[in-house]
Amino acid sequence: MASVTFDHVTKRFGDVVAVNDLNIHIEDKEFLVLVGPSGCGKSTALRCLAGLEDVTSGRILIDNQVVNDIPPKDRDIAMVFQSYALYPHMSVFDNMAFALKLRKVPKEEIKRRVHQAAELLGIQDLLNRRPRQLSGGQRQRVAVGRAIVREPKVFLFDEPLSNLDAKLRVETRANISKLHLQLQTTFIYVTHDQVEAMTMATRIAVLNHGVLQQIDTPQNLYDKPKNLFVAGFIGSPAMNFFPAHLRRDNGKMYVDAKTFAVEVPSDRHAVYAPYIDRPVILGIRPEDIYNPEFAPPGILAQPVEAVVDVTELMGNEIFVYLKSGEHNFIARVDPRSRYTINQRAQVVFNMANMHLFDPTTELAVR
Amino acid sequence: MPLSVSQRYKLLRKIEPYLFLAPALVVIGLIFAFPIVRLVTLSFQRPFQGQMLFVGLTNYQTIFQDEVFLRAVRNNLTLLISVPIMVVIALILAIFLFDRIRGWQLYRTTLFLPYLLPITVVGLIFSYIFQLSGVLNDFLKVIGLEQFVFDWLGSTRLALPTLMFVIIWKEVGFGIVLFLARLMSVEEELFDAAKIDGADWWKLHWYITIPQLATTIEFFTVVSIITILSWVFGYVYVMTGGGPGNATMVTELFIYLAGFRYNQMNIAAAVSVILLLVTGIFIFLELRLRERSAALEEVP
Repeated sequence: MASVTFDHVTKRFGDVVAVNDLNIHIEDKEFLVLVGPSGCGKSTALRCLAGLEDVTSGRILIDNQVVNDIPPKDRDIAMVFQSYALYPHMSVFDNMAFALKLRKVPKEEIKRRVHQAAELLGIQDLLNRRPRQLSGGQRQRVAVGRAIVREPKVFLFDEPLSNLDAKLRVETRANISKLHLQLQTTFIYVTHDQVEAMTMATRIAVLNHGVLQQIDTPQNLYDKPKNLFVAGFIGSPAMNFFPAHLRRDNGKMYVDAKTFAVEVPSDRHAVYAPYIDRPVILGIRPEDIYNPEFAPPGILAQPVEAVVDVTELMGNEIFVYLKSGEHNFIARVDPRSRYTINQRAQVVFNMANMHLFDPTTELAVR
Repeated sequence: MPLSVSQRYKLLRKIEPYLFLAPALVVIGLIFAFPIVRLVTLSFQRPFQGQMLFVGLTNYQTIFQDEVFLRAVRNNLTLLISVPIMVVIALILAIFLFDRIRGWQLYRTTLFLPYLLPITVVGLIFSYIFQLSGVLNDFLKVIGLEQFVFDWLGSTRLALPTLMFVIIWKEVGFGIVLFLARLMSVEEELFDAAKIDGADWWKLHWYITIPQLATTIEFFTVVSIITILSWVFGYVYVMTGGGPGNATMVTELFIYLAGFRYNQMNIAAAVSVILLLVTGIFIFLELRLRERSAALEEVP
């Protein structure tokens, strides 16, 4: 159990800056997810924390102790790798016991802890097998088991679900969340999958090009993205963006995207005022676009005309790909909606949940 | 009864593979099978009044009473000491190179270079180095270590160890490259996992690297044994000619001398058959090991 701090951490590989001045403080018992597209530096940050890479500058602290010069074996962390990295020449038991053996834990104690972890993960029957005799899901659990028996201060996960099939991934996701509750230890989890991040994290740190974009709770990240990148990364399907102008007309404020104009709720006027007659980017999530027939009452509905391009029936909802002039956007609408391709259709934007971004700084206007 | 069209087709399909194999089989037969059959026949014969007579195991009896032959066998067995030495040296150097010491690419090339040089060239160069008035002794004198000046290749006591040194120097590069190639293919996260699990440098290599190299070590060991038993002729012929006395006599040289110097082709044949059998055992062993490791690596 421990807190973890990245204090102005930078990691360069030659000319490439993998992690750029990263500052994160992770509280004890927190489940922090580092998320971002591939190559954003999230794995590198984790490897720096594990001690597998040296940092170029800055400090990493575990439990308020600087660990920059402490080798991985003495950092008291455990890590689950994407490939699981099980030792192929050892049985499952030996894989799980390896770290304890190296630490000269008494044999009886090793046995007890391995069996305890195996029971927790439901892999008691696999202890005598070799990794190659296991399925992907079983290997994944053994890898987690190997981390658990250590009873480390911090658990690190590097994309541990990427090699599982979709169904197993959902199941394992829930199991890892449960594990976090049971173990009451700091979890730091790297993934490129924003769904994993949203479902498991107590806080999410979004990285891009080695730079921390935003760190917040999943709900805040979704509701109040700080910039275009976070807005586009969190949520599926991604938020729709419309290059537009802000204008005032008769005391009302409009976002004018040429082919349509939508009214800005009055409570935002003061904040958006500096952008009057300037280019802006309007952001609307697909779930904030409704078929007017099924729009719930009480939303700040603004009608928009568009042409239906493609529809995807998902069962509980329909993804409608729409076109308005040069704008392409997606709406997640009620499954009772009837849209046909090339039909002119009207949808409504719920302006209460609109986002506005500065096109030059890409920051949200707030 | 003439065959129907479909029967003819079936027959053709049956013999077709053999037709394709036939040319290769003829070539292999001429190059390998015929000489081996001839060799075995010769080993049971002796010339008598211009004719070859079948003499059973007489040739074999003769060689096993021959002091020089027994000496050659002993020397071959002594040279086998170099096998574990080569394995250990190759292992250590491969691990150092794998740990990416500064300039490892240069070292890798340097260490593999001897393996690419012709044995005769290596033998000649080392003959000059190890001569009584050679480079090594000159060097030892210059730095004041005169007590270590020896006739490296001319002394019955030192000739074989010196020869062994040269063999190791040249052959170890193969092991290094083999081990390094295997290590490069080991999943890197395995080493990361072990480091996090608490392994220091020694434990990392003892518990992870060496087990991962197990099948490669087996392979290199067997190949080296075969090399020492049947591939050292070049070194001996160039550097010592089997001397001084018979201090560096080996079975291959014995075969050569018997067959081509003393015109006892039947004795040479008998020794060849023995060498072939011993080598054959190791080749068989190697094939079995390879089968086993292939089975081990199979992922269900």
